[in-house]
Amino acid sequence: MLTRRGLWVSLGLTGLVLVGSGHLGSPDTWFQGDAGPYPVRVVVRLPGVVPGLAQIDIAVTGDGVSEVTAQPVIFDAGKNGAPPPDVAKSVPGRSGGYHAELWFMTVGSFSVKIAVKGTKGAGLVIVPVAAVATTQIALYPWLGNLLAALGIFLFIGAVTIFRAAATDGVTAPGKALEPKQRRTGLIVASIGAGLLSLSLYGGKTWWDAVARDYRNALYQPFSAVAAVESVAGRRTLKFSITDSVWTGGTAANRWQRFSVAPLVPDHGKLMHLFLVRRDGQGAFAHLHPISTDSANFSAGLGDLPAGAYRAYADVVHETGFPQTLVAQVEVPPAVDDTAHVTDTDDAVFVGEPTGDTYRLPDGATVTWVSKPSTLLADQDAGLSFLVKEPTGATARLAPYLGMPAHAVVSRDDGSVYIHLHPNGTISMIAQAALGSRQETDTLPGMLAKRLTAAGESGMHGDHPTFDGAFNFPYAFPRAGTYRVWVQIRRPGGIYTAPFLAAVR
Amino acid sequence: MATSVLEGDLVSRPAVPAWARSLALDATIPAVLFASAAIIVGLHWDIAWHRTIGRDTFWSPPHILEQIAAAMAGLLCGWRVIYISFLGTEADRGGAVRWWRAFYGPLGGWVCIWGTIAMIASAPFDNWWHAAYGLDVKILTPPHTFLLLGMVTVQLGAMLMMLAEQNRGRESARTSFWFATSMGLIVLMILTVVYSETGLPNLQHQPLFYQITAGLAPLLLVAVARSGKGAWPATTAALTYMVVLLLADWVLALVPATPKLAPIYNPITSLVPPGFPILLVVPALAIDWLVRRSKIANDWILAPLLGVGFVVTLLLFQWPFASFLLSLKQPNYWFAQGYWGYADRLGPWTHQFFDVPGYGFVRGVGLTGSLDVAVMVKGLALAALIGAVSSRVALSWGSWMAKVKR
Repeated sequence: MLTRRGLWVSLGLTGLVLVGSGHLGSPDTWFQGDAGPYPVRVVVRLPGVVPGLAQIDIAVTGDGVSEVTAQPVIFDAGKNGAPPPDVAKSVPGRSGGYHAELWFMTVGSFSVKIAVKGTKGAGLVIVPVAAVATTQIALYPWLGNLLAALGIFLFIGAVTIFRAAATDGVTAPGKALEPKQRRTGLIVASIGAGLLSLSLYGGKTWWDAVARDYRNALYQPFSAVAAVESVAGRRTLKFSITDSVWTGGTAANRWQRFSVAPLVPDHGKLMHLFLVRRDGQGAFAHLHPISTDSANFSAGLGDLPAGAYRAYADVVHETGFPQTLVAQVEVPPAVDDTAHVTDTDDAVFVGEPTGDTYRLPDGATVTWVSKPSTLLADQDAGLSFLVKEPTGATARLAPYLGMPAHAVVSRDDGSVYIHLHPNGTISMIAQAALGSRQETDTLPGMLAKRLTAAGESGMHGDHPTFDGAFNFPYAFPRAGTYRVWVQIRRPGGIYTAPFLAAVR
Repeated sequence: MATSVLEGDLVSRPAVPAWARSLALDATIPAVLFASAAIIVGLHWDIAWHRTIGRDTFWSPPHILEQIAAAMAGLLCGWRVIYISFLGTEADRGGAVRWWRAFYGPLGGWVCIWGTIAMIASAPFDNWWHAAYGLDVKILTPPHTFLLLGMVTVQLGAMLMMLAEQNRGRESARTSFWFATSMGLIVLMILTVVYSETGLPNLQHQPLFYQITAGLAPLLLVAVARSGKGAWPATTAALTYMVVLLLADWVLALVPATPKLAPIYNPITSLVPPGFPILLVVPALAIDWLVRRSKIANDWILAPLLGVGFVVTLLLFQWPFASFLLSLKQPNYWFAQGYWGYADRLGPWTHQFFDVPGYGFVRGVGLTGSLDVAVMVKGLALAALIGAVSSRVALSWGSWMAKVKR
């Protein structure tokens, strides 16, 4: 009975299990950056339940490291609200490898503060992590069987005790039972069995209620719809957040409290919207819709071919809480060839992968240089790329939205989607929000205003160029066929290079 | 026919070392009593651990103490059953409860074994529960309830074994004392579970506290008063409750510990003790007097008197005592008062009564109003009614208990 119930729970929730805050089906956080003078790579694996124990792996490059600590600090914790940092243990056999376990006691947007001490001094870096309950596991079959067996044994045992309490137990030693006592024993045992059945029923009702409450509080991204409007031949994508938590502005549970806060621009854009064609994934767009109000966004579709698309919209709240909103959209054919584009950073791409190297329209090449011979789920995907000029020299890259490159990973069935940068799966604005939140930020929007101003001032002035060799720290979450789109800025515009990954 | 088989069985029985017999028949009694005490002390240690450190594992010291206590009670009672069933004398079996035709053991022994199995079964269930729904921050969840049920069942088993000893008239003064003591440990267990949310002195000026206490304490104290053979069984049980809890208070508050979870609003440096026991000894004296000395023979008359007597005596002493506790400078070591958990934000509320009828909290002003006597009296009358019902049940239960012989 117990196992069958668990099975139904797991079947009913297959769709929910794939959700992960900020990303779809890819719940782990990967980060690559510098903790002061120490380059670090951090992986945070959340347990899928809150409160729960997260596994933190830290790799520090360089010598002279004496101590690495990890500390979870919730967005609005204040000075004393954090537990003392945990000292990460050195992993035997892995030079520079450290491991820690951290308790996330409550749902919300956290800084995981990684501090490194050593001969070069002390360094600190914030890894933003959104801790939300995303999964409901079924009762393990062995445990279901064990509990059922013990339950039956304990039930019969308890009924036997009830009977003995009315018979043997109250009979003087050595004396035999009288027929009347036997009758009383049966009556008492029957009443006991009835009471036990009632309490078992009560226990089941209680359990069901807990499971239902838990399911209702599981994280789900805001609901959204997308449609294309054609006016005078210009196709415009309309993307609307329809969730009542957002449109009504009231939070019913803890994760919602972190998601009713205003949106903040990541790389200067309030929304990064990706369209992936559903049949074969051969067409792809990276758009930055303009907001008409807090729930409605629109973007020109350029020369995107007609078809059925999945829309993934990345947004980040002032609390550092990221979300990926998902919608389906039918794109009609373009009436004329006016490419209607609302943002110069938008890019539309049509094309198929050509192996490990892809030639861009300007003759430059993008190569997946360290592709493992066998790609395995949950193992470093080795997403290292090299951009070469047509001459064969390694290219220098102008920043595209502040980054040397962007990548989007999508599983062919749409169940996994993630937007990567060379610093990992994290959102830069979430990191900034967690780092610059002050105790005086008591009203919604105070921090968002500062973050937006800081982001705009950062858009001006000179930017350094980046090396044409870069990598994205990431692991494919499970087996399947994935497509990876790598996007860079070249003098001719934003270019996209597609790659295929068969993951076992 | 049956007799000859038994006799033949006796002849061919292997010689059993004296220590094995002693382990089965003599050691089980103190062992289950110790287990009963270790379970409740372990529970208080565990609660203090959670309120102070916050973080634990399956192998935390309080958990180990409880599992060892459960295993010891279960294994020794198991050995007693095996010994009596297969190695003991006919007299041993004649004094035992037969189980599924082949096994013989004391009634309390079977109850202990049942409780041990329930406790052990709850462990993987609880582990799964945490993986499925997150580590619970509250005490009462289905697996924890199952565990607590197992714990209190082991304690009930210990009490029943003492009871059978007492009722067989063995060393009557000593066994009746230990019987009352074993009941006191159950009182502590039950009150610990219900007071985990409702036992603060701050809550002792509202009717709910008296209703909960009147529903549970007389159930156990009246039963022990009816079935105990000592002079003051309910008083002995109430004193056991108070002494064990006070010792836990005084020891736990000395153990250094710091929070390992956030948010830390109260940076404490030692384990948080459970708090001063309620003055249960006063109503217990009243119960002993009414049940054992008042010569009221009709239980239907006795029960309402017990209900009213319990609530009145508790009210007379606990009401001013709660005021005294809240007036103390916090923390106070000897009265175990004002020790709060790491996640508590301290403020004037730590010295105030909560939810007293007639009082209201006005923002910027604080508590205003005066005691609504009518609501309070109504609430206390309900408490007395609850006390009468639980006393009546306890009188019947106690009469049954007076007959337990095996």
